[in-house]
Amino acid sequence: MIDAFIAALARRRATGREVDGDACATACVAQMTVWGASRALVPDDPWLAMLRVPDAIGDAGIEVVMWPSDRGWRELLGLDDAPPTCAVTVPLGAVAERGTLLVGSSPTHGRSLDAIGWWHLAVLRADVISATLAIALRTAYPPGSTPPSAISLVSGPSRTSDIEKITTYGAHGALEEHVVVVRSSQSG
Amino acid sequence: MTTGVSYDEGPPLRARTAAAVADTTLRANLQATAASWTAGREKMRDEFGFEQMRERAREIRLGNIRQLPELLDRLEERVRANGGIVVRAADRDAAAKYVVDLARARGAKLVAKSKSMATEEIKLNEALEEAGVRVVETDLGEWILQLLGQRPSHIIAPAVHLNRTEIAELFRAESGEDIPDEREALVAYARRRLRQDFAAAEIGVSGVNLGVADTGTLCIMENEGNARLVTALPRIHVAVMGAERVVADWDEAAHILQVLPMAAIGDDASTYVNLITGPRREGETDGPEELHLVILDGGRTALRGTEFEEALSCIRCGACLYSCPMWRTVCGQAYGSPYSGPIGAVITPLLEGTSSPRGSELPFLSSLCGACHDACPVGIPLHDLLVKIRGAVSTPAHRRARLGARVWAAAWRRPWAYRIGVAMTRGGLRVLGRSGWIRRLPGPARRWTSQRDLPARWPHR
Repeated sequence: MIDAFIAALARRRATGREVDGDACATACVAQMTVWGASRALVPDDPWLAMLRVPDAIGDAGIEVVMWPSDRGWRELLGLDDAPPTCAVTVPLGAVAERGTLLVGSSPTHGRSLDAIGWWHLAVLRADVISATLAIALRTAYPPGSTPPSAISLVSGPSRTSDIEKITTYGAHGALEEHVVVVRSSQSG
Repeated sequence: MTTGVSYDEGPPLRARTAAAVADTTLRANLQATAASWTAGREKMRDEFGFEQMRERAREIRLGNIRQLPELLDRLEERVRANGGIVVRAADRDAAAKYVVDLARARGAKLVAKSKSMATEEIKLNEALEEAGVRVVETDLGEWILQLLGQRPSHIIAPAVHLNRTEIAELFRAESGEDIPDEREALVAYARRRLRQDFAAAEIGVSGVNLGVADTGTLCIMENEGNARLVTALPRIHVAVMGAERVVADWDEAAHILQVLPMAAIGDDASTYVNLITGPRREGETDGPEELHLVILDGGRTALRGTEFEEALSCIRCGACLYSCPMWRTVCGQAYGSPYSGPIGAVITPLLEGTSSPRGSELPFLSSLCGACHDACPVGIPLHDLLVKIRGAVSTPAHRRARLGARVWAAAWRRPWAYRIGVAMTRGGLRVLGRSGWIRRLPGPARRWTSQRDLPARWPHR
């Protein structure tokens, strides 16, 4: 399932790699370094903290802004010479067949998070990957439960075909996407 | 009361199509676009079994339309339970008025919009601007058209009739900056420029691709990310949904969410699908504080139970436009309706009535080749519907044409009348074609010879 998901990511012009939990923080920092990010917008998620992702990003000299953040939209959107941001997400699900992430909203995880950043780095638990979109949505919306106020299905970086019907990347959302898949035994 | 789609003022259909046919740049742009769509569609057929998915999509949508009142009631109940406000608008004026009144009541100065055909249909931009509210389209294609003061030429690719040189000239004029004729540079400029408006807008307006009745979730599909920012950053989100755009549950939604991009762009997923189940909750710091769902009827529910009911199955993918030899020749703007191509030629008269100039003309802007039926991901027999709608058009000119056809048919059923007709025609053509060529025919045939000469004898000697 993990291999199928990572292969599908490549079709969506995104990248991904599978790591053990103790290598997750290093993998995140390495990807941010490749992108040249100087600021990271990170959800206040206990699992990410357990994996030491925010600490490792800070140790690498990248400014860490935790979500929720009191910075205004202009700054978070990279206006007024604010440095472009790498948004980190913890998806609640994924679809192996399509290379799709299900990114849910919560007080510590904004519904706009991955779209306001320049780059999108998802840290995904391997055990939440489903084979098909129908299974993933059934899991995300179980009968009788209260689903998140918003779930975004994200399939690769932002793109547009509005100019000459040729795909051009980096329209309004993330210019690039990378998924670090954390093996199930390390999922916490 | 006004129902149905809005119409553009302007020259008559024949003048618009003639101008489009003469525009060689437009023709070249459309040929490239259609070729790109065809390649994508072939890929979907070969790699993803699109034909089987199409059958299931048709079943789902026909079932949705059969159960439409119940599904809409359930959707409304769930959206309210999730903290949203639901308004049923009987017609386009009522829908636009609700949004304008809301903007006034909240003191909004700037509305950021993501692409929505329903808001085109209700002429929302014009209504808001008349009320002194600035509106910014944030879909790249729609923004380009807004800067040009033009209407969309395609349901999902609104600026497909323009090439990058034309767009670069526009952006240079708008910004005063030296922006090169490169797609990446043009997209980067729009991204930078429109982020200002995402940050400042008080209201975000979007359409809705699907409403999921079971959970009261609104599905908004896109590739750019602007719909996410429009629905997540402003304090208020207004979603305008055509009343037919509802499915029962997540199994149905999952299927349509995959079929739609396959049909529309030849891809098995759109980049973003925003699934919105209410406004922001306690403790959340983004998402709207208010979510308003405007369900637009505009003549839709009146089609249920009629021979035109299947038109409501449409999921607005735009595939029938790309497949249509007429649309590929004259492009969407020539139709003079927000909805163009075969589906536009069907639903414009169905929602507007066949007595208006465009409502009576559009059903005839088709060769009835049936390519639209083959392209449609929910199998709407668009060519059959067009024939039925043509039968319902009853302007004086169409009544005269039908009378002429009846006389013709009656004559050709009788050998003696046929022989007299042929002899008279042959004699007339001999007189008109004394020079060997017939350059001008009288009566209804005049238009035919306005651009062609006919040899008086065949084979020509």
